Amino acid sequence: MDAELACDILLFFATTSERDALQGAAKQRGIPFHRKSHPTFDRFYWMDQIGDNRVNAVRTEMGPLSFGGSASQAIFFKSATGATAIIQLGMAFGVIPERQQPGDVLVSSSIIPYDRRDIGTVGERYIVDYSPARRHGAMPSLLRVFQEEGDRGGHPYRVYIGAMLSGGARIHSRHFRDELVSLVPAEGDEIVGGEMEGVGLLSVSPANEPAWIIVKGISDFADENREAMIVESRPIACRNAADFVLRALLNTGQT
Amino acid sequence: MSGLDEYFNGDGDWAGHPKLRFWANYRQRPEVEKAGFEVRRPRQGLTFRPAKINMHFYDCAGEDVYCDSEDWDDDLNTGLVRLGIKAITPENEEERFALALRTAFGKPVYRFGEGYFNSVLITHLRESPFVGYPAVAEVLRQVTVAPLESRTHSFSDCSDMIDLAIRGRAHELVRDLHYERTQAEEILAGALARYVDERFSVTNRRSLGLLA
Repeated sequence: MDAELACDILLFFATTSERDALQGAAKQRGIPFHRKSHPTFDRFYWMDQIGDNRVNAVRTEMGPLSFGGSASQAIFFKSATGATAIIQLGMAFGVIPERQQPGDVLVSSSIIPYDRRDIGTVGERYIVDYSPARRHGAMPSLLRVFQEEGDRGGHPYRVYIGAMLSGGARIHSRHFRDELVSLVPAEGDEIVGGEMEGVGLLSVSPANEPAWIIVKGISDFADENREAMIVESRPIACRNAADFVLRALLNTGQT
Repeated sequence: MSGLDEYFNGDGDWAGHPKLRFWANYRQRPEVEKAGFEVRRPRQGLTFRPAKINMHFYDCAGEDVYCDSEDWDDDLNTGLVRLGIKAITPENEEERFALALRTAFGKPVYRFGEGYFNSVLITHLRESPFVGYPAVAEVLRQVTVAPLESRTHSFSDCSDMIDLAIRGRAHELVRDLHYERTQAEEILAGALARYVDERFSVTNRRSLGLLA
């Protein structure tokens, strides 16, 4: 197998800002971030070995189900590289504005696919039943890595580990955001945020053997101020998520 | 004798799955001569459909008297192994034990992380007698892992956990399922090859034309 293609962990990102942040965080630590081409697919970014793991980064299209989105790319690249795990990087929305700040980092202990819902009718109105939106646990071995990194402390941002809402909506309403948080089944881990690509990763592994985790920086709170806030906070959200992931992976070196 | 005898003399917690009790009782029916285990997990492109356990109950003529199905469950499988119920073919037994190995390797994966476990597993297998089995040798040829800088305590601990997981399955094949030693070795080697193939996407890479 192509030596540079083979890896243990894939880092997925979806935007130019996220790529630039990952590249910058890598450069700061002397980690390569070399764009590579391959006859079978367009490109990937070779990052050599970080701690105990050989890592490659891949850019996907935004969203889980778009052509080239996280779902299709996860299945393809996991197979092509022999990777055993995928980390989805990028930007997310927070759901606790009174506690969280833009730039804080969210780690998914589970994701909640909120588009799995039943729409019914009562009289002339529709009702939404979110009971099918059950949590899917993240990969335990990666969750342990990020929990340990969070416990290590010393980060210039807070780290929140918990459930993340995931679906295709671009949310600009605190009412809808809060409705989601209150209506999806309560199953233990606190909901700490939401994003769009993670639900695509459910396609890559069975529910009882997850091969993914999401680590994203808060760029907004999915409310009426979303667009204005994202312009300001996009760089720090992307930078902090990349920083946290690379710190955690560097600390996986066994002694 | 104490009132706690049932806790110390009875079956362990592996016997708790409700389907296990039902199937164990069904096997005792007078018309049932033998029971057979089957795991069905068809490949679907680059992934697999969810695994199912089919339990077959045969009469003395070898005809199916009854067949029941349940989603794959590690505890249910362990219980069926303890009851001595073999798979319907050696190949199916390999598939069953590949899934059992996946569960058993879960502890070292969690403890040591993906990349380190990958490196130690492949190193361990390349240095083990299993490399003498063609299926294992072939799949190992198609896998590369990060080199291990030195043999440390972590390497020993991880390697020991991997070895223990394999030994546990070896004992199940011989002690619980009563396979002859030669056949048990072939099944275990086949299961290891299947596990490595899936973990490192060997068949998938071949399907994508990425293997020489």
